[in-house]
Amino acid sequence: MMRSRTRLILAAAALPALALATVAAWSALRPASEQAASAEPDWGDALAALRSDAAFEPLPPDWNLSLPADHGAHPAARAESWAVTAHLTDETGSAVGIQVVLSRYALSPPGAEPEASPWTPRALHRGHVTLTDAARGAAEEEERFSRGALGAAGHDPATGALALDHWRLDLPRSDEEATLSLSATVGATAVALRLEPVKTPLGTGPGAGPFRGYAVTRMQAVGTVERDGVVREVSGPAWLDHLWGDLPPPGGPVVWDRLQLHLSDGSEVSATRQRRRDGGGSPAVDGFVVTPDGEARSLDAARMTAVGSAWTPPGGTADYPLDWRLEGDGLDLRVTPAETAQRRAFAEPVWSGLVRAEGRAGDAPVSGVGTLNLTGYETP
Amino acid sequence: MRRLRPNGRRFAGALLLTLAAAATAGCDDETDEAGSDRFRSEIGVVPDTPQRPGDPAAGYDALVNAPYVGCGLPYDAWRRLNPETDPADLLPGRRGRNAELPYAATAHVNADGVEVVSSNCLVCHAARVEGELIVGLGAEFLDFTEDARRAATSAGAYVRGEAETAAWRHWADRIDGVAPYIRTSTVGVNPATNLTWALMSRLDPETLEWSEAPLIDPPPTEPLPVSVPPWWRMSKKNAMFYTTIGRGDHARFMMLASLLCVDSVEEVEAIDEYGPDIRAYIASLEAPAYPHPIDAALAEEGRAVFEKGCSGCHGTYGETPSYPNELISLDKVGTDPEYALAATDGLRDRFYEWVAESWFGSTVETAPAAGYIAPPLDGIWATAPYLHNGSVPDIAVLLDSERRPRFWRHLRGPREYDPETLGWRYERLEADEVEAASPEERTRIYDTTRLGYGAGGHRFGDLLSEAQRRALIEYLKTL
Repeated sequence: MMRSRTRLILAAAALPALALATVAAWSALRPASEQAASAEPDWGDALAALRSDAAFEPLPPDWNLSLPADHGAHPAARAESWAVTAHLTDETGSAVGIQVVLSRYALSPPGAEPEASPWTPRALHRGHVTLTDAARGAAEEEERFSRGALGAAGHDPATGALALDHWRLDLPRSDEEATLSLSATVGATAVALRLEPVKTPLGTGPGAGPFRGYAVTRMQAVGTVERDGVVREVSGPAWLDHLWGDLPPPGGPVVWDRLQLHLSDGSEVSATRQRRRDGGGSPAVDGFVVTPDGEARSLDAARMTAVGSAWTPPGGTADYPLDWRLEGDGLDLRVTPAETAQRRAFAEPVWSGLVRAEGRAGDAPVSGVGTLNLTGYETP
Repeated sequence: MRRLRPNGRRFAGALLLTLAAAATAGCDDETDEAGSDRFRSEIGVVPDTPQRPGDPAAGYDALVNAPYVGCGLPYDAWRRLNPETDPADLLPGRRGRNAELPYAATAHVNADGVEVVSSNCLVCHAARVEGELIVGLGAEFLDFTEDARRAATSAGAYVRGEAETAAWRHWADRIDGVAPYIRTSTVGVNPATNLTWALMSRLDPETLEWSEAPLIDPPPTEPLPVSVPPWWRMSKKNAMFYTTIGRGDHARFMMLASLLCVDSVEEVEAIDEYGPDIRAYIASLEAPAYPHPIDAALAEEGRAVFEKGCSGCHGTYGETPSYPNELISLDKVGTDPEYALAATDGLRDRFYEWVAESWFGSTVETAPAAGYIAPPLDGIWATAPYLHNGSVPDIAVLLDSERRPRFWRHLRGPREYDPETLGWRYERLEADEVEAASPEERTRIYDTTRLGYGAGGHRFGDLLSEAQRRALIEYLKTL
């Protein structure tokens, strides 16, 4: 039996969980990044800014989620991240997983000083896309950086578009248009999706924490995946995380394992395990379950355990645990990768990809599809 | 819209830890298994013990500026997690970085050059009542119900660089070591006693070196609850803590708060340089005056009631005060016995032995009694909830035991002080309501049926008439 906890509040833990995508994003801004450092010599300066005490306005403590306005950018916040995670199938039932993360890190507070020139970067933008196409057995990824000057990247309030080069997420601007649109390419593959929210957004609510945000844990995604002139129709559940504020900066002594699952009973699971990279201390598991009717329950007391042997990428040194067991709040799930080789060669490499879940929710069998992000295993 | 709970509560929890340690030795136990009287005190009058002299002004300065809790979260990470400081949380007399930190946090630069923020004594020993932040008032709304280890690990997400990482690891290691022993089931009660024992289980008594594994058996994981007594009572008390376990040099007993982070005797010796000053400051504190009008005539009637029925244990007040320092037997006071029994059943004697063997043992003695001290009642109006375990929400029901709630919780949003009952407003709950509550809601409910949480005993007020009780409450406002 599921326990009868019915609180509407998600545990504190949920927030670091939501932040994970951003952590992964910022991880790419480390100085050891070859392409970043060589192509954009000011990334190093930008990193210095990560530690600055630049006077960003504190987030208002009395914030409450207000949509559609909060879909858009929060330029007063030090950092912001949007992440769309979709678990799709094509006409033949073959799985396609995609995650698109677009992040901004401010280099100076808005209005801090007059801009020297329109070329002066006010922010760093980083985007990354991961694609897993089971039909081809392919895992592809792409990472891009931009300084955002002259509107090259970022959110345009006039159109509702969030962009980095030709990657684009169109966000709703009025109550009448709840649908989001996503278009991105990875290598030779182009993905276009319409995302219709199914569940009520879950907000962080007011408080004095370092960041704010919300999650739409189930959207219905419909669209196409095109490659070499072949267009496939795809559909499936998708998930939006949007956070802003003082999000955890890149690197650091903590390893993050984040699991997002869309389960067959109509519920969703977010679970994040943080642990020390040095192996000491106790892991901290944070998470929540969103029931089919949209109610959120804490999964903070859950156990998220790596089982079986870890996978070491060819030529690599990191051991990525790809088989997991998640237990808590009536759930008992085994999680396995849809493909083993889903390591992503970002500036700070991660394992990020499609997984499947099997197990029980209460007394009923349940299955699911999801995305697992393993961040911090390889430190440049 | 549904809500995610912001993580403020959790990180606040991490800070609490740092200084739950400062709340220090709650106390405990008695005779060793051989049945000797070692580590035990007798029921009756607690004898006076000379204290080392100190400078109260220097003591305040040290209290709010000195790094007596030597580990913490690196400042940059701390500030990111605590982006705003409420101006009402700033205290005068703080220097450097401390001038901009909330009263319960102290910053210092460690040996590796990393600025770290630790919780200080005031985490547990300062609180607000009727709009005033009062140094020395026990904090009765702290939340120790979360697993501190989670917060310590999560805080690492904001830590960068080798030196910062080492500082965070030092702190997180300690939190990890004590967290299982300081998690309470109820918001508001304090686990300081268990924390102290947990620390001793990991520290070599002679060298004060931290051990990765317990050196002696740690205490039980379920802390017995205590309410934090106000500091201003120290000027009258001959021994510290409810069971009078703290005999001898009070300054050193207070320094047990530093055990969370120490690695050597040299560190505690450095703290001992100003420890007597802090004790002198604490002993100089006076109770805050009741901030509302008092019916003087009614209070005078109440004085007669008090001096007839209460003064024998709690002393007299006014121009020529007296305080008997009387330890009351469990049979006589009748309040929840678990705390005193646990202190004296022999099962905690290993910790008293630890103290005796340690640097602290040269001037302090751990000697609890199987009873409770009848405390001075100065400023009692501010100190709800009452009894050693905080089981009784206000004075009105303390004096009328039949009306004490079995299950109750403080009203929140906002919390409100009731100047007539001398307690924070609360609501009673029925057993089925408690049963139906979620685990989260349960932590807010004081359940007097839990072991150590009982609200019985001290039924002396039952003998009074309603009019006498009203008069007595009016008089208590004057203390």
